[in-house]
Amino acid sequence: MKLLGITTSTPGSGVALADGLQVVASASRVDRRGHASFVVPAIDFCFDQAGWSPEDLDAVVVDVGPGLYTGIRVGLATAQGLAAAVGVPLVPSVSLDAIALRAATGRRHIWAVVDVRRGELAVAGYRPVPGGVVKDGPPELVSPERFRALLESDPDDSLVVGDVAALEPGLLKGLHRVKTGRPRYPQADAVVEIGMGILERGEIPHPDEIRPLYLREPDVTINWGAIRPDSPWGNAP
Amino acid sequence: MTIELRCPTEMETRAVGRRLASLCRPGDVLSLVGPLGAGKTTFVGGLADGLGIEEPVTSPTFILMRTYRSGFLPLVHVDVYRLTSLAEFDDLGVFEEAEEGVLVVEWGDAVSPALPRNHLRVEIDVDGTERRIRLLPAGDWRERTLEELVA
Repeated sequence: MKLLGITTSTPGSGVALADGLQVVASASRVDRRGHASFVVPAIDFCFDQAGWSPEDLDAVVVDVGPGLYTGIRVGLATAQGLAAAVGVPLVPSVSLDAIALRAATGRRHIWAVVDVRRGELAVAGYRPVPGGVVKDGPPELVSPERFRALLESDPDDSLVVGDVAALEPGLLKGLHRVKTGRPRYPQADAVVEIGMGILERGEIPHPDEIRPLYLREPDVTINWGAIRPDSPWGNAP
Repeated sequence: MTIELRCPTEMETRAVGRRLASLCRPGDVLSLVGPLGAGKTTFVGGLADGLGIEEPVTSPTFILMRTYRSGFLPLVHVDVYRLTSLAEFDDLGVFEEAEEGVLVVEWGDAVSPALPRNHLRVEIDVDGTERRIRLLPAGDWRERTLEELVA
């Protein structure tokens, strides 16, 4: 089965082509902005390297967040366009799941973290099991203080993975049973692996149900009507 | 604390910006509030001048963000007028861009929940032919000598 995996929900963008779980071509870069100028050329590059064409694909897997607002939309729009054009299923993958899947631990409780800005973090807990991880529950949006409290009350030794460098300095200070580790961002090969699992279980959602996972939805709209009634959006319905 | 200045001419609006530059430090955030034509870009032009920036300042309305690096401190000039949500503002990455410089956000009140508490609010109002500039400091701006700007 030939899959394309796309992740642009964090500063670490990545694209991978895989045959089953064997990655045949990949491209990645780290940049807080510019996902749109990266993703399509990166897909082209991967097809070139693999000697495949889009028609060879069996499915497209896309990271739907949580993460960067524009990044998520860039990845999802690109994946939707490509999947629709070649008539293959679109499979959603959660950024935190892809991060947790690559956490290097066999026993520690895993906390995956994505920085969603405005002082908030998207987090989810996972247990390592042979061959992967099992999520404790759906991802949630928390303040840094709440995240620290979650770690403090964790009865197990834990490993924090994801955008640990974006946490405020000292946030994890004194938490002796907590370690931090990699990966920092979702990797496209992990996104493919998650998509593969969803396909094998036959759990592909209807394309209409594949939406960005902002957690903050609907995001706060600027109330231009109150600020400037004569602005282009001031009188919008 | 509020500092109020009266500027009968454009040159004086510019001069206030120029004098304010001497109080700016790396990482500062200025929220610029006022109607179209109030002289927001003129004010930023003066600020740029005071920071030793040589090139002329033009409105960033259509490109959203413009960075000037030829002065003592980088100046990042942002205009959120074309944005529709706070998330779009977050995604511009303005704070990363302005980490070592001064960030000026035009229409800053539109994105106030996304601005740091520690910032200087600059309100420009049109009063006849005059401009009234009000400086409302928050955070460590309260400890700076804003009153010296009153010429």
